[in-house]
Amino acid sequence: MNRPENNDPLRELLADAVSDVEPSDALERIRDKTKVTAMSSRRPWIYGAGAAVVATAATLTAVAFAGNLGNDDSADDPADDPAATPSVSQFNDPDATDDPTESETDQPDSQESALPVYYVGDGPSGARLFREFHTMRVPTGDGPVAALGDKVALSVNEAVFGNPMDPDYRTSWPEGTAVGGATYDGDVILVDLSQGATDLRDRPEGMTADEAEIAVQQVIYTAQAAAGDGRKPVQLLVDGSHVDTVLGVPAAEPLANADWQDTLSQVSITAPREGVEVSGVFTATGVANSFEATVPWQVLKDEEVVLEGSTMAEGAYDRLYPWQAAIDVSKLAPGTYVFKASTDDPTGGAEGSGPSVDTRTIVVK
Amino acid sequence: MRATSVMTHAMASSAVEPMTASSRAVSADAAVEQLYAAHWRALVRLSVLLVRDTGTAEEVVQDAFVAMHGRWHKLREPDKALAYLRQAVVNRSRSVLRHRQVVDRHARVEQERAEVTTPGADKAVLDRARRDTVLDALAALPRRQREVLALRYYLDLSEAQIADTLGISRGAVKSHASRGAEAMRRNLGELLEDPS
Repeated sequence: MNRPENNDPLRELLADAVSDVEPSDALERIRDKTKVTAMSSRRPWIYGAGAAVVATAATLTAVAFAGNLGNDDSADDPADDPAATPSVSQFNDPDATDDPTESETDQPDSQESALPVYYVGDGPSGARLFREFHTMRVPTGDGPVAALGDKVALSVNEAVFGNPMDPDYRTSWPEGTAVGGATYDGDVILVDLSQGATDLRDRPEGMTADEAEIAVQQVIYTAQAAAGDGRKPVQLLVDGSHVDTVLGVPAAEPLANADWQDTLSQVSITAPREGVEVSGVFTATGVANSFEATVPWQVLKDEEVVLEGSTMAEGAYDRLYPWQAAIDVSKLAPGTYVFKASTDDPTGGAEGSGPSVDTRTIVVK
Repeated sequence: MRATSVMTHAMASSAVEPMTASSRAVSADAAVEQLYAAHWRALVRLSVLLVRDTGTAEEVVQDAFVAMHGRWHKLREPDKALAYLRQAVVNRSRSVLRHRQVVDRHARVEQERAEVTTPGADKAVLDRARRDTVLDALAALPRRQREVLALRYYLDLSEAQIADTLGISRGAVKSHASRGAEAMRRNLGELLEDPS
């Protein structure tokens, strides 16, 4: 290719010459100019909302990169399902030794599935969603459509009511919140939340607007992932009724997910699960959007790095891409360690808010 | 649904088009959003290298995105769309240059150079002066050399990609690159020895 060498001073000078150019955001102007086509290609329900309100929303998200293409956000890519990765069987995790997605059981009216559930954790610049897979028994007796609704209901219920496996994660939904039911008709995912002592329409005292927003997104992303049909809009109900707000967040209409870059953790560990035993060489998997697709990892003992390396995700920048790494723990003394994966921060923290990080406790046998 | 109701998440509208995992079809809107997210800044910076003026560069790249949106049904793939965007940015940068008077550039540069020589000139002024010197040197090059250098050194394109973008042969890319680099090295001798 005869490319100039990386250290060619001309390269530095040209990059430097425009390094202070920070163009203003023009996505809205581009959208305005392409509107005619845009209208025809959008789904009509979008325009059920008042135009002024849509414009406001546009301003809010204009700086956010709408990199979510709806169909291939690998955060929910079936190929990334832990059940589909051979590595899972290397862990002594009773839930993961079989293929949990479709395995037949002795109960003909249900089957076990590893369902995606999002929880709230901390990113470098605020709360983000992290995904876990929880194994649950999905009723199948009423046919595939009902089973899909049940999957959504079970996953979202696990998100708002259940407990994350990783102690770093949390859910902000008021105690007693559960899911009464869910349906998916191919267009809109409907989730009927059931409230405990707390009125779910209003933002509870002590909950910030950001927390409320991420809690609603937690339900949207979980429902979309469980339905497994791209980024479909999610209609929230409370105890069977349409409501104007949920946790103070406007929710009368079906909601689309917020931008993935501002909502999902930019790195997430799929395997190992929290607290599993590992030995020899194990394969870690996950998804990430990292600079140059680089995903650095570490194994820590009492906060000291005992192993480190890095791997490459299958891509970067426009969505989360799967990554995997072979981790050789055969030389480590038995005991409890922390496995940590992060995004690459080429500035070493000098710019921005630092890397995204996800961790798992592992037990080396 | 009530007509007056509020929907805060409507903007992700392009994300709710019916799509299946097997069809990777992406709408023009989604393609614009995706490529905008990944390449808006770099393309504006590329255009600044060619036209020097940020406002002009923003307009150039904005128009390139609008044009790409209109052609999406033919492009279909993000890679092709990106190649088209680069081409559109270079071509449009070229045509705005033809029509635009570069106003007061030399006066401004001279003034800033004078400031640099005054004691106590701060780093920002030095940075600005260095950047202007590089942009001036680029602007002084023949058009093709400038374009080849920007694509090669700034966007890191291969010879083949540059040839495609500019619609010239790889041999021509090579010769423009070597002449352009030589001229830059000649004009920026001091900076190249100590780029800091």
